[in-house]
Amino acid sequence: MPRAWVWIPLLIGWLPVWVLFTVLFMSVHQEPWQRAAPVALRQMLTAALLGLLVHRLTLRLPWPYPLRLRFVAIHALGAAGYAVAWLLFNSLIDSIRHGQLVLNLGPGAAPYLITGVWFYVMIAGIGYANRTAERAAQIAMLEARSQLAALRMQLQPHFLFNALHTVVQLIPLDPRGAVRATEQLAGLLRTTIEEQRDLVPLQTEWAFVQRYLAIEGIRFGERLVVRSDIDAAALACKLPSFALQTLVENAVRHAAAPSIEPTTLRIAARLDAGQLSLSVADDGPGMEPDQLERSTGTGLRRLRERLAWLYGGSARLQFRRTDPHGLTATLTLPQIANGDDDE
Amino acid sequence: MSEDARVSALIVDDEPVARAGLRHMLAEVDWVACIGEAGNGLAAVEMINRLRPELVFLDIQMPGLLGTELLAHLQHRPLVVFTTAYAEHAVAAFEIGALDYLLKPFGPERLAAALDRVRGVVGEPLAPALDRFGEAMGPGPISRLFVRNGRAIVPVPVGGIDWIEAVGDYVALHVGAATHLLSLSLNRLEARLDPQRFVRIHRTHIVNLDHVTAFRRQDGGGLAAELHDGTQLAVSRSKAQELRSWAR
Repeated sequence: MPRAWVWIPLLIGWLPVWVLFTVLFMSVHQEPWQRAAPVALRQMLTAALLGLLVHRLTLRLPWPYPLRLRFVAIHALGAAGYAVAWLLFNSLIDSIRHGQLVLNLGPGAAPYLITGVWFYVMIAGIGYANRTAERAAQIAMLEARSQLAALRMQLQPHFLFNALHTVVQLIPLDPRGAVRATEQLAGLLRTTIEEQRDLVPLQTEWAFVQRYLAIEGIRFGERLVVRSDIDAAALACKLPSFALQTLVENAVRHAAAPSIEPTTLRIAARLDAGQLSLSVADDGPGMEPDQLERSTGTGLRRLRERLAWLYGGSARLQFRRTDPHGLTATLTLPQIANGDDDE
Repeated sequence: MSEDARVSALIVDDEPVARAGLRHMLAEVDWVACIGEAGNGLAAVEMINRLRPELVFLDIQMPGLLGTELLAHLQHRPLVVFTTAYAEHAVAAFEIGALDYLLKPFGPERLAAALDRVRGVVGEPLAPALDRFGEAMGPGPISRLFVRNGRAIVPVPVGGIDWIEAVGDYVALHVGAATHLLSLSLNRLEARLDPQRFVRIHRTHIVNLDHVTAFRRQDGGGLAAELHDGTQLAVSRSKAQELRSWAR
């Protein structure tokens, strides 16, 4: 579809406004429609032009989940600003047309401004409604993709082959250990394939991560030390499925795997002022956080995508270097009290 | 059989279970002696240069140095079999002269196929599966012959062989008091032995010059090689002339 076609629905959307304004001018000012229609068209066009800015704002400011006061405040200011700007814009056009300063108040300042606010709410509302529909479609698509790509994304294929090698080698050496490792690996695969939920309780995610670490523990032997500090109060908190896994696997791959000396991973979870705070710290060689984002392949990028869609701008994922070396990943997730329980 | 005749092997892998598993599998192979393990690329370089193994099982993704980078740091060049979960390095591995590329997970059967190739490079006879590729196997002279003893395969160092005799479709290796039969042609064996040391003195004999005490003229006018145990081996007329021309 050519780009120009995008404007057609927009124009059609504004046509009723033009008609409405024309009718209003005709009834309030007793004007014939030939005079009312051009005036109404001018006012409609200024509202539409300013509306483009409102649309921009809704793009820049995603709807937060949960709703935040800051978001509401920005839009309250935006609505007021829009109404005043519309009034001034119309006055400016009239001033130019008449060659003198005119303050166009039409039926009076209050109804004028209220109409402006009403436009603003309509424009922003339609913007967010579109975005919500888009988001739902995107989430469904991401979900479908993540199910198909579950094995590839959540667990690196090389992890799988190496884990299988470990199991095969354990069979003659330690048959019980081999059975245990097979069960753990099967558990990991089952969760990876079957997990359908966007959000899971930390308890579920942590069990998954522990299985993963058990297998990596066999593979790495003494080179991988894991310390965990999971706050019991945090276990019921929700987080995107495989979010903690992505951070832990990232640390194993970028800190433990390239190190000859043992690497310690510290995994912590806390519930803090209604936010779930997760951190994965390693004492590996460390790397520049932005270098990590580029080199790490799809895991982290996909996590960021999912965070953006699931939480709007309210989730935070940060990396910083730790002294004397190593990297710490921190993920902060707002908790919606008794939120949509999809279990 | 002397210990040294076995092929010395070093295992390089950063995963302890992978090392233990490979060591366990190699313990089942009579003719391979595992002489050490290294857990990272740097330790591997040091051990290979110090222990000089003939064969190295080399993981690729390791801390310190990648398996493929490590070869550039070696003063001693062993036979290399890569062991890795990454299929994508295979082309590079063969380009730098890998003998085989074992994709994890692998078990004893796939390992046996890799060991067949190792055996083909260091000795004869070839495993049946490799027979057709005989000419392609290692260019240099072989160091051992592999003799079947019941179910075991016993390596015999070529230096210890006194002489070799063609017996129908077989060759008989005479090693001191012992005799081993191998299903192999004398021509094929001759082609893979060091010509400075092993000389075909007769249509049916190859002799190890290191074990010859003298060449003597026989009563009938022919020449015979005498070994240190007193064995007398007839030298063919054409070969006798060649030997005389050397002696002048």
